[in-house]
Amino acid sequence: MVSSKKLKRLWPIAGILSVVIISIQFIQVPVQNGKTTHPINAPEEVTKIFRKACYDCHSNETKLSWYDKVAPVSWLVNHDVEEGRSRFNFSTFDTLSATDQQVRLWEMVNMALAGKMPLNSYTTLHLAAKLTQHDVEVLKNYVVSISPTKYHDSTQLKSAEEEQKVVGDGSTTSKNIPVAPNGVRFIPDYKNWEVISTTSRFDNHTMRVIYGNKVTVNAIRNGRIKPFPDGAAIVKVVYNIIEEKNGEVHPGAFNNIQIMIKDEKRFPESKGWGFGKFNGTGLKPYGETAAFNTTCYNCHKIADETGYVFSIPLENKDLK
Amino acid sequence: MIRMKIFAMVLCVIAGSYGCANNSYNDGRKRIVYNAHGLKVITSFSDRKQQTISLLYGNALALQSAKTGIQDKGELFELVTFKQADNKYWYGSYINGAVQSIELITSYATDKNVIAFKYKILQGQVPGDADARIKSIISHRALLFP
Repeated sequence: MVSSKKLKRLWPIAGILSVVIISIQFIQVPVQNGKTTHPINAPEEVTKIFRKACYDCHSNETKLSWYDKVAPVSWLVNHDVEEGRSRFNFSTFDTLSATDQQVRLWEMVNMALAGKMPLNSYTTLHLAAKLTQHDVEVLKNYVVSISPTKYHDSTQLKSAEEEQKVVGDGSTTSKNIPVAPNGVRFIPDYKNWEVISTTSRFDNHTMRVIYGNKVTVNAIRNGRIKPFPDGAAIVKVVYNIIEEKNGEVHPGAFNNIQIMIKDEKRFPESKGWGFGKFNGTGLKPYGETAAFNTTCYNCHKIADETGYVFSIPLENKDLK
Repeated sequence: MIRMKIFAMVLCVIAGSYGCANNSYNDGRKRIVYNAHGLKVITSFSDRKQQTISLLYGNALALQSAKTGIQDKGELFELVTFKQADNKYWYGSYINGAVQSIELITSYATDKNVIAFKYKILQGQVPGDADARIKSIISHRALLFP
């Protein structure tokens, strides 16, 4: 039993708390819903999944429960919705180019497969938003269906042929070192590094030869990848592919070079990784501003188990 | 004294078994970066039906001939064929897994000064005879590495 004396002492505290809780309700304006101008164009069974699992944060059709509107929970909700809409917004999704839509959709599926999305903090209170195994399968099949294989693609064959002529001339070395908007410089010396892996992709029909400098290779061999040490650098050389019906996949023309450099001081907001992408044989730096680094990092979060690097060699136990 | 010896022996056994257990754990978690001993990549290709993914390495002369199509003596090609594995962190990507086979080709000049090739399988089994393999491997053109 609480004595009446103690109760008397608790009254002022409860009063102050009530005033504080009521006051904080006015600090932030609750989430506002905008218009749905260019909604995602996908089959019904796919959009149904997006609606139940993603729309509250990734669209202009956010549906708030009463507790989502009460501060301080509402602050967290506001932050998540703002962040979610800034990454991609299903209400304006069709304004993105077909390629950008494809990239986003594959990222979504991989975020879901990695268990990163929808956020645990969200599904704890919104149980219906949890993805079932069937949902994930539907999404996987959908992204494969929007990225069809063109066998023996004559356009790819032609551009690969034309590129071979240039290789024959031996006139492909670039004199000026291109620099990405975040200061990451192209590294021509990657050709003398070791290859850490090679990948073949059916999402965007490309392949990669992936090089690591000494720091990277030593870190992988010694199991010191969480985190990778400062000075690690990775160069991914990306090519289009020519796919044949009999299963053969040949490299096509050069597409781009992607770079990751590890420098904790320079890139503290992306776990120390600085990204760079250089397009075409002219190695044109990708990105208008340094902000593109965040886009790269956001996707690489999927690979946090391997130091934010997707394509490092498998562990021995996974080699079959 | 005897107690000390027994204690030391028990300690050794414990340390030894711990070491073993520890090693097997570490070996499973280790990752191998294929050691090409300084050879450079010429190209990479894969086969979705065979579920293989390959890297063709070469010395400077092999790389040169893969660029120009003109063979010379002293070329060294190393074709490493890996099993294709799923990329654990990216649905949509395959990555090289365990090494399935390693083939080696060297070029030399015959008495009549014609370029000829020697073929050797260093690891695994490969379908097709030596001549067919030589023809196939040296026919690959070099990738563009800007």
